Order: sequence, then structure tokens, then C-alpha cells
Amino acid sequence: MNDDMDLRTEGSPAEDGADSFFGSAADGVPAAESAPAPAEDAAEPAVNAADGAGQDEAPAAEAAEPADGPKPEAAAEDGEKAAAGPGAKGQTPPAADAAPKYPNGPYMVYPGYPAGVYPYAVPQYPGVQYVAMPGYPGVPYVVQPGYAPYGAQAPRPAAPGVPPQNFTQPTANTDDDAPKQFAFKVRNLSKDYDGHTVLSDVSFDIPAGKIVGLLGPNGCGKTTLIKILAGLIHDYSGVIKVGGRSIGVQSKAHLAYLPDNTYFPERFRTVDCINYFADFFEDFNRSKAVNFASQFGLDLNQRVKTMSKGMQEKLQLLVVMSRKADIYLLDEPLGGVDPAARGVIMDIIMNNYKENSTVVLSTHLVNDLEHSFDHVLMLGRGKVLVNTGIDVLRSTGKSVEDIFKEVIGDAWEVN
Amino acid sequence: MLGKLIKNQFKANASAVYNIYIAMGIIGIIMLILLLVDWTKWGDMGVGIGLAVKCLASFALCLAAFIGVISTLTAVFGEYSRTMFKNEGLLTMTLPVRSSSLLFSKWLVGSFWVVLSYVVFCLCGFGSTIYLIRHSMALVEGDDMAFTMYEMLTALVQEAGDAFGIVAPSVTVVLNLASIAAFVGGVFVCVFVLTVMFGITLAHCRPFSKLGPRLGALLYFFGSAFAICFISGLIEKIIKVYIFVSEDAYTFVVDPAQVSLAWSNGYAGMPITFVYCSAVLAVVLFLLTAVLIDRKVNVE
Repeated sequence: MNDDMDLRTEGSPAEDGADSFFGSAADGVPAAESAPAPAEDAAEPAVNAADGAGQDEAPAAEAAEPADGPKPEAAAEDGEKAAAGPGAKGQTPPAADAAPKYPNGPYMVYPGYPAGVYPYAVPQYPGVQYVAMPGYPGVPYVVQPGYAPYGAQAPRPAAPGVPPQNFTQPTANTDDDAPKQFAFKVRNLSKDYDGHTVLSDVSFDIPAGKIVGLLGPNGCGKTTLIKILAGLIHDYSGVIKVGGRSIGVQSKAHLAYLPDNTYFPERFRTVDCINYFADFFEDFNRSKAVNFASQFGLDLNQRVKTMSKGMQEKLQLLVVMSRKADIYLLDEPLGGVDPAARGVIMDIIMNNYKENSTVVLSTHLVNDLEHSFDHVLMLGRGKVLVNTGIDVLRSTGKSVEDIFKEVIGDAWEVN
Repeated sequence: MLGKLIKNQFKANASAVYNIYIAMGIIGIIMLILLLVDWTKWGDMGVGIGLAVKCLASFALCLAAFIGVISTLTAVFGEYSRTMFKNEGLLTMTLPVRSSSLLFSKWLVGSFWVVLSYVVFCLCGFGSTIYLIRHSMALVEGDDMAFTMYEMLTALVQEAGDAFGIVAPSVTVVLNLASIAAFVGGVFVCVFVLTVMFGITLAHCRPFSKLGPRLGALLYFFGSAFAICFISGLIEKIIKVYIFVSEDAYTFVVDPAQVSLAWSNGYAGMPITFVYCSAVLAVVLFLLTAVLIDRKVNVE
């Protein structure tokens, strides 16, 4: 197995017709819909069968391990292997035969693969979220930003009798669970429209203080997800924390939402929109908004109904970006904007969001925006396909757009 | 925040109905001007034309008032639907306010505008009648119009009272009773507004949204209104409470004989159970609507 190997076409046979390797580990997405393994790969399962056996035994071994954990040397050794291995940021995924063995476990079989088939035994450390890498079967997980890189610290064994963290069902969040570390914590989120599933048992975390690209094909649930996070859709199942809070008055006070269509009443003038925001949002900067309006050439007394769609979008953008919110949810901010104006709008967004705040940008224009992202969340088929830092994606040598096309192309094929 | 919500809600509703009130004001001014014109200068034909013009103006005023009621209802409920479930809901529902505050502001301000439109409609109808009578009585020099009307009304009441063994109450009692009736009317308008809002909200919640927003809202409104009337009527049959109105006091009584006695002695009384139950049920409906908005409603 090498860097460019893709389990969608060359990987191990899926046991249940699962769709793709790209399923988020956090979602517990079964992996690849794939063709039968080529002959040269057929040997791998046999080789990995030993790993698989090791995996099965690992929890017991883990439980029997002393509470003080593995020896530092062993941990360091593991760390070195990992740094050179799949989880390390900026590292090229290793070949399959270079897969390290982790004697200290606990090991988890990758979801969707029977024991012994998957080439890796994936170590599972408490507190680390594992996410599938798109297109790179040698990278079954990445370390989330905000956590120490894999191998930087000794793996902490579970206490005797405590089962290892469930790979496919992340623990439900609570208010005291590092509220400031994540802008969003989503657990088992499902949403359907009259039987048509849009989001299916999705779980993910979005680190705080990042510019997050929310990418996905039409109808994949981006707007639905944003609306749920903004508190506009209520009949979903799952647990969501926004900035450590449940969705409600407090979360809304710290969240600035820009929808993909206009929401100001037609009777409003520009100044009414500014006054309205000033009335309800304590973090709103009125003078900044007035300056923006002047920059945009918006007359303060012009009514919304006399504005073009582009002007209305500018108006909404200026009031949203005049807030000092902790989280900005921007749904297709460049959707109806001509290419010449995109740069201006992106400049306004990038230059005016509050420092250390989280900006979630939903867009199809991956190429235009990928240089702005710190983190990428790709949705497709109701699942999280990719949830990782931009550095990890770039370390693959491909652009975000290329990866987007690969991942989303697969989603479209499946659909 | 509630104050700001009410302020903005008041502006929103006012912007939708102010035109009709301006129109009514203009018609009223025209009617006053017509009163000042001496139509007799042009002889009988002038008097006839004057009467026709005044009739038209009175009709226009009543029509405007009626349109005012309809447009107020449309504005209040249209605005509710638009700002809670349509595009504008994307703004409203992301405000850092409780759904109960949001609903309360819309209900309170909506009820105010609906009550105002009813009051204006009634005043316009009453005023137009007086206006036309004033014209026809213009030849009777020195007559005090209001006093004449009052005498006519009291005579009418006296006759009706004699027929049913009722002693006509004093003016003070009538005014006290009128204030109670106005309060009861206001309560019913508030219950009505809330019931419609509940119907609209339910029509936007799955699985009740299958009937569509309009038909669903209409059916759920009638259903919940019927339920309120049925339950209130049922309770009224079991527990009868009346309000006894005298010149200087309001007293609650439970004996119907006392109310009959009151009417026979120049006092007044009316049943209050129904309106009380309706108000209580409206509170339940309010809480239910707030919960629906909080947990079930999706903004399109």
C-alpha cells in the first residue's frame, strides 16, 4: 500500500457493502464500497491477520496493564513510530508494510473491516478524536487540532476494568467538558425531512479559534447543519454544544449567523437594520456598521425592498461582521456574488472577525477559499467525510479542491 | 429584551396598518368639512346633494374601518408567520431571546392592534350613525344631539326592561358594566389572537405540517377554538360564577338568583366563568405554543 492507494478501488473488500473509506471515524461510518482486492493486495489480509488477532486481545491486555502505563521508553518508541507514521502532521503516509505494531494497545479494528482484514491496528487513546483521512488508506486517523500530536505523549492506559473508548460512539458531551476548546461538539446528530435523511448519526468536533470550511455537494446537509447549530431547526436528534453551551439564548448571543438568503424585512432601511442589531446584540458595533455601509456605498435611508440582491447580501454581511461574536456561521457568503466582489467580501470577513473566534464558512467555491481555511469539514451522504486540519490535507500534496473532488465525487457516485 | 421586542413588534405591525388609519383620518376630516358647508345655499337640491355626499363619506369611513380590521388581522398573523417560519424567521429566531418572550411580544402587540381596529370600527360605525342623524336633525335648532340620543336609548332600554321585569340601571352602573364588557371583549380578542398563533405554529410542526401552512393553520385554529369553547362551556355548566355590578363595586357571586335580583333592583350582573376559563386555557395554549417554537418548529 502506498501514498496514492485508495481503498475505494484497491482496498480490502467491504463486508457489508459499506460505501467508502472516507467515513468519519467519529461517525462510525462503515468504510469502503470497493472492488475486490487486487491480487497483490490479497496477501495483506493474511499478513494483517496477526494484527487483527492482536487487536482482539488488546483490550484484555490493556486492562491487565499496570495503572502507571507503559514504560516511557516504550511510549517514546511508539511516539517515534507514530511521528513517522500515519497520524503525524506533515508526514507522508507510510506504506502498509511499514505499519507499526503497538504492543500496548488498546487496539480497535477499523469500522467496516472484519478483524484481521484491515492492515492496521488502530491505537485508541482516550481524549483523542480519530478521523478518517480521505483517499489515504495509510492514514486511518489524524490528531485533531487542539490535541497533542500523536506520539508526543505517552498513551494513557485505561484503568483496570474500564473499557477503552468506543471508537464509533463518542461519549456524549457535557457542559463541563472543556467548553472553550471546541466551538462545536456534535454527537449522534440525525435529521431527516419527511423520511429523506439529510444527516445520519453524525458526530464531530470543531476546534475553537479556527476558520472552518464546511464543504459538500448540493443537498448534503450543509445548510441544515448550519441552521441546526444556529438554533433554527429544532426537530433533530442528537446532542449539540455550541461553545460548550446547549443551543439556546446564551449560544445565540455569542453566535453570528449569516444565512444564504435575505432575512431583513423589506420595509427596513439600512439604518433600521443596524438599529435592530444594536438593540439585540450586545457585541454589535454600530459605528463599525455605519462605516461598512459607507464603504459599500449603501445609503442609510435606502429601504431593503429597493436594494438589489447583491446589496441586500452586503447589508447582511456588514451587520453580521460588525459583531464581536465568538462564532460566525456564514452560509454561502459568496453564493450570489460576482467573482470581482468575492475578494472584497472575503477581505471583510477575514479582517473583521473577532480574534480567536471561530468562523465557519459554507461554500462550493473551494478553490477561492481554501487558502483561508484552517480546518475542513466535508459532508456527504449524510455523514462527515472529512474533518481535519488544513495542514494535514496539504501534507498529502494535493489541494483541498482536489481532495474535495475526490471525496465528493465518490459521494456523488454513491448517490 | 422584552421591551425591545415589543418596541420592534409595535413598529412592524404599525408599518403594515398605518396607511388605513391615515385614510380614515382623511375621510374623517372630509366629513367634518362637509358638516361646515351650508348646503341650504343651493336650495333643496343642495341639501339633497349634501346628504348624499355625507352618506358616501360615512360609508367610506365605515368601509375603511372594516378594511382596517381585515388588514390588521392580515398584518398581525401574516407578520407572525413571516417572522417566525419564513425568511425573516432566520433573523427573528437567531435573536438571543426566549421563545416565550418572542411569542409574548407578538401576542401582546398583535392583540393591541386587533383591539384597536375593533374599537375604531365600532367608533366609526357609531360616529357615522350620529353624523347622519345630525344631518337629518339639523333643522331642529338647539337640540343637543348626544342628549337626544341618550334619551332615545334609555327609552328603548326602559321599554325592554319593563317587558322583562328589569329596572333600568343608573348611568354609573351602565358605565361600570360597559367597562367589564370591554374587558371581557379584550380578553376574548387576546384569546382569539393566541388561538390563531397556535394554529399557525402547529401548522409548521411535523407531522401537523402535512396539511400545509394555510389550511393547516385554519383547521388547527378552529379545532383549538372549539376545544376552548367546549371546555369553558362545560366548566361553566358545573361552576357558575357571576360578577355583580353596582354603582361603586364589583362583586363575584355564585348564586344566579342574586344576579336576577340585581337586575330587578337597578344593578347589573353577568356570567364570568366562561371568559375566565377561556383566559386560563389561553395561558395553557401560550405555554404550548412556546414549547412548540422551542422544540419543534423549523425555519424554512
